[in-house]
Amino acid sequence: MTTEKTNGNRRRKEDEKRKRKWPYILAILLLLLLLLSLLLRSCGNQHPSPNPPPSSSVPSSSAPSLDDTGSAEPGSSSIPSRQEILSRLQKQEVTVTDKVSAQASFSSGAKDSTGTWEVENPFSNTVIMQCEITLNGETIAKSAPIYPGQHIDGLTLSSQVAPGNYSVTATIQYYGKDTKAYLGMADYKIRLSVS
Amino acid sequence: MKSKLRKILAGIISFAVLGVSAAVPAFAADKTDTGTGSITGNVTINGSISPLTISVTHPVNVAYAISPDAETFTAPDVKVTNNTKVAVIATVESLKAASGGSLTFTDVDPSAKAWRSLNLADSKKYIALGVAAKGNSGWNSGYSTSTHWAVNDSPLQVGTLNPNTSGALSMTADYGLAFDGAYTANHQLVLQFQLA
Repeated sequence: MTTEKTNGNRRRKEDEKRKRKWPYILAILLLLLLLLSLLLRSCGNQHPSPNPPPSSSVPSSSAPSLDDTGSAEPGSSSIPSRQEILSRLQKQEVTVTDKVSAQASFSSGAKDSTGTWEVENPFSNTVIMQCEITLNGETIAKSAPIYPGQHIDGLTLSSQVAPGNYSVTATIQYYGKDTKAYLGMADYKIRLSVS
Repeated sequence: MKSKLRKILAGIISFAVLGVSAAVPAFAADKTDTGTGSITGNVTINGSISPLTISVTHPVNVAYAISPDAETFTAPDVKVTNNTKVAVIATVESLKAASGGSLTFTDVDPSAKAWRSLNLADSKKYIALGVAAKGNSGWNSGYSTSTHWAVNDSPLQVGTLNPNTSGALSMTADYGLAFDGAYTANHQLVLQFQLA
């Protein structure tokens, strides 16, 4: 009888003990579930998406990893020296030699009358020349294009000029031989004689 | 008989001499001066002089480079060679910012800006570009030591160059440093030459 009593007491105590453990087990299970869900979420972020947003715009919960492919140049970046820059700039330079007669002469100042004026574009040049004479800001004569190795020895007046001697500006415009693009110009002060 | 033959020959020769002198045309300005004692003869000499050819070798375009990190402006010298038989005068007719590059600068006076403090927009907008004769480069004494700044409109007579002599012009500039890319910019330099 007494043994049955003691057995009954022990079972009751064990039941009570089991009842006390349940909340702890439940808490541990909940914690495990929480950890599992966090793990799954972080794994989901690493999966490539069809249109991934830029990494800078969306903060990632995990630290970025280094893409350790390729290699950079050793040492500090080099700035080209002054001599290297000068050499590069000099290669872009186009130099010409002009040969311009110091006087243009017209036997008549009437429009369309022809006169003499010599301009040579030496063969060594790499530009096309086109010349014009301006008197008081107005163009009074313009040459045909003069290719390297060519010259002109006359011009035609495009407007009437009164007889007299004038100091005029002869402008030479330069164009690329191949591209025919405008490159620059130079002026010559010459004498214009109209009879 | 002999004396008759001599007379005939003398007559033929004198006729021939007269005939030849009559056949040779007198030159336009021929003039016979007559008189007694000393005679003065005036002779007009007509000369024909051709105009001289001015020949100069010079660059058509000049390039420059700005390195903002190094704070340097680099441009080769503008070399001018006089191939004419006499001295020539070289003048900087104009120096102006031109279109055609990825930037078109506005020329300003070098004292107009605090260049090292210019921001991005102003660095890409303003420049003070100048050109001046380079000393000891071939210019005759008395050459101009002034700098022609692009903002100025009046020409600058640089100096004279003797035949077969080269002189140089140096480029100088004040500029900003804030450039966010590689750019190109153009300026047009117009030189004028004339006989000295």
